[in-house]
Amino acid sequence: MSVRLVVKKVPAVGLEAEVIDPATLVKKGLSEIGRLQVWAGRRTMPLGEAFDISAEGPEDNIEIHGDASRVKRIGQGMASGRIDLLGDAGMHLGNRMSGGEIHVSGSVSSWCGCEMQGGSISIAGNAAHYLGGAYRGSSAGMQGGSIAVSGAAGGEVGCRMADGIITIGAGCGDFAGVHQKGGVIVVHGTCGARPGAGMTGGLLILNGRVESILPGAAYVEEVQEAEAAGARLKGPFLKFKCDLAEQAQGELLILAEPNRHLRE
Amino acid sequence: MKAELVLANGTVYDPANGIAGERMDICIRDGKIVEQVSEKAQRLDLAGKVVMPGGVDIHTHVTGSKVNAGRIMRPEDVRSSVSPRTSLTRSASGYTVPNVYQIGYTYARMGYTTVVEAAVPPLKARHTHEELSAIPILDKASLVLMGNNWLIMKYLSEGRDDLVREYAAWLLEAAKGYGIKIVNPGGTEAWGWGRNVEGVRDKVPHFDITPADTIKGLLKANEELNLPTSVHLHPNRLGKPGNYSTTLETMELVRNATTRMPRGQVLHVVHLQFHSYGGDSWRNFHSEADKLATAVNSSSNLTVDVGAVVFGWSTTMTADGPFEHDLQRLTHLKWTNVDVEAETGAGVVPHFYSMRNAVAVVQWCTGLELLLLIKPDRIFLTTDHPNGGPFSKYPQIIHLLMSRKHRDAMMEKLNPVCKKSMLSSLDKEYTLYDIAKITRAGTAKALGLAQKGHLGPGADADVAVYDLQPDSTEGLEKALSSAHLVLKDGTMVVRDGRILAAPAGRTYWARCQPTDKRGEMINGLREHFRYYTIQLENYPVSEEHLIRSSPVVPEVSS
Repeated sequence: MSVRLVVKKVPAVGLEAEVIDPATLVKKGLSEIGRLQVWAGRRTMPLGEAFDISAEGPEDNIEIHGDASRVKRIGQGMASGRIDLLGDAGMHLGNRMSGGEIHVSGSVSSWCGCEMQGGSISIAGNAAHYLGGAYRGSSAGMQGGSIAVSGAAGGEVGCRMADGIITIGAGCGDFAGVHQKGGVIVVHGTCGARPGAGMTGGLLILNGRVESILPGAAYVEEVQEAEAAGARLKGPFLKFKCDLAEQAQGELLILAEPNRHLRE
Repeated sequence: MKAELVLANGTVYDPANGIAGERMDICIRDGKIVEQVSEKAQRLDLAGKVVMPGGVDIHTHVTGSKVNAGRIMRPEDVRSSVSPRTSLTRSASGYTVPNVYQIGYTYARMGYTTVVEAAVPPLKARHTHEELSAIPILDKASLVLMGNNWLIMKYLSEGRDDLVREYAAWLLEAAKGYGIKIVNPGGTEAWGWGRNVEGVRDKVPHFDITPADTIKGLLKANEELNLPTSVHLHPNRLGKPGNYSTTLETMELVRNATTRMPRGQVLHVVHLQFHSYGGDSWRNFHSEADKLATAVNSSSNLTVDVGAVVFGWSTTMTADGPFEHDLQRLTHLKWTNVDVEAETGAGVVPHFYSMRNAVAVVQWCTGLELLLLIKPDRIFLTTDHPNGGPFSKYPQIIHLLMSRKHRDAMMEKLNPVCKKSMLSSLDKEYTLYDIAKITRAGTAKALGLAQKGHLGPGADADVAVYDLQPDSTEGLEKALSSAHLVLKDGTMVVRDGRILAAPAGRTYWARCQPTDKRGEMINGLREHFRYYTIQLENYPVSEEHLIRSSPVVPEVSS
């Protein structure tokens, strides 16, 4: 059963909607879904108060319509199935997910795909901070799967990322790949300051202008092209080992032409 | 009207009164165990259930400075176990660094009713008591760190034992502490200078004394003050290969010391497992538990707790600052260093005990060997929470102690180094009577808590009832984790693992009488306090700060 959720009324404090998980939702009856309790601040409310819920089509997926920018934790920990968001999504979208797919036609808030193990998230708009990152105190961020953002992302993309791939279409904020340990991050467009800070492994490709890098990025050589997840990017690129303050095992590739200032 | 209750027909294990699995009634009136009650008393039929005194944990780190450093440093641990509040209970969180509510509820569910916070820097005592007061249900006591205190070491080097005693008494009152704790004597002080000490005969930097002087000096003060419990000692060189010789040397220091207190021991050595290693590197690291066991079994004035290791995550935290630094250098996990500016020092490092790691498996074996080799009257069950693992894992250890078959099955899953251990040849299996000794009777006696750890008339009606069969280990861990019934001062606080009531517990502390040396000691203190960040007058924790203050007043020696 395909479950359609249309945003009706989301409290100003936001909704903790981790119950929106295809594996559990599509097996329930509509009235049962409506009675599922979700936290709104320090109170709970039934899901049916926040959404108009209907069923259509035989496909096992969830469709969310309307402004869900205050609906948090959609697809948290999901293992299979598909969620289509026709609009914006709130914080923690698809965090800790291990399989399945999420498609967002609008933009997403912070902590999207944090600590995810597998599956895929695609976002047509922008993403805010900590995309594919780690929650406070965790040793690893994203550990598998893929995230693709057509627009821009905020700060600390892929913080402590251990595996998987993140691609960003239109630039990102400061500290991209901070403490990155593995996996691949590709940023097209302008990148903020200090990418690869504390990086110990993995590959960070910045295919656009970069504001600044840290002294811990050690220049190695100029390379003609970069390869990420099967795709080739035309260079030349400046190649750095990053971060000297750690074990300097990470690889940072920065498009050479607009970034000559980094080596001055 | 007097509240009367009879726990009828349970199978009772009460080692302090020599009761080993007898079917009998326990009578309770006004929160105390009594000989008999009136006809009108409420009767609870506990046929087929096991009845024990409430558990007493002699060594755990649940509150105060470094525990909070651990909570702050490990948000991932805090969020790994979260339960929302109910109409009765507060929101509980945390696994190896649980919050105060989680601590109270989890201990209570396990049938524990008294715990001892094992390390309090006096300067941070106020914070410790804020948290102790907030731990629901349990009775609490805390031990005050004195082994690296500048004034203690100064008085010791000047041969002023009288001032050591007077200052220790004052510190206990100021910190509302119950007993004296020594951690890595001299070593934590040396850590303030980036160093450590390597044995009991090393000189402490800037003080003309050795760790041996500190141990003997504080032990003498402890006995002259007639404190209810002995000095609790964390010896030098914790966690180092080959440290067992230092531990033996330390025990030898007190060979002839005696006490007039009913507890019998003059020294309680804490988390012995971490001090029982042979070898000279991590490559030939092995257990020397048998040597330590012989030493403990042959000296009647010593008790120990084990500090056993359980597999999985822990958060190591100790006033042994240099040890934590060394551990961080080994594992490269995150590290916090705190309290070096206070009268002690401490470090915190998360740690994972892996079944595949040879060192962790040797540590696991060492703990169990000590428990199986040392008489159960003299060794007590701890994990040095959260260092060897969280206290919530005690039922796992009890299961291993009670079943050789379970130990053998477990060893099949471990790094093969365990096959070479002495543990693989030990047949001993604990009975519930022995378990009651290492978790209740023995700990209460060593702590000098006469009203705890037994079910004789006059004892506090702290009682744990478990739904288990005395002759089977089937379902043991679950039964011990989730007691059928727990009474605290006669009030039912747990039923079938659910919290029914969360009354505030007592805080025990030692109120020693000042002697004619008090004036001289305070004058010296005033001089010292020129360098403190707090005025002398503001330093002591006032009694009003404690929710249920229960001072113990030691007898004055003539």
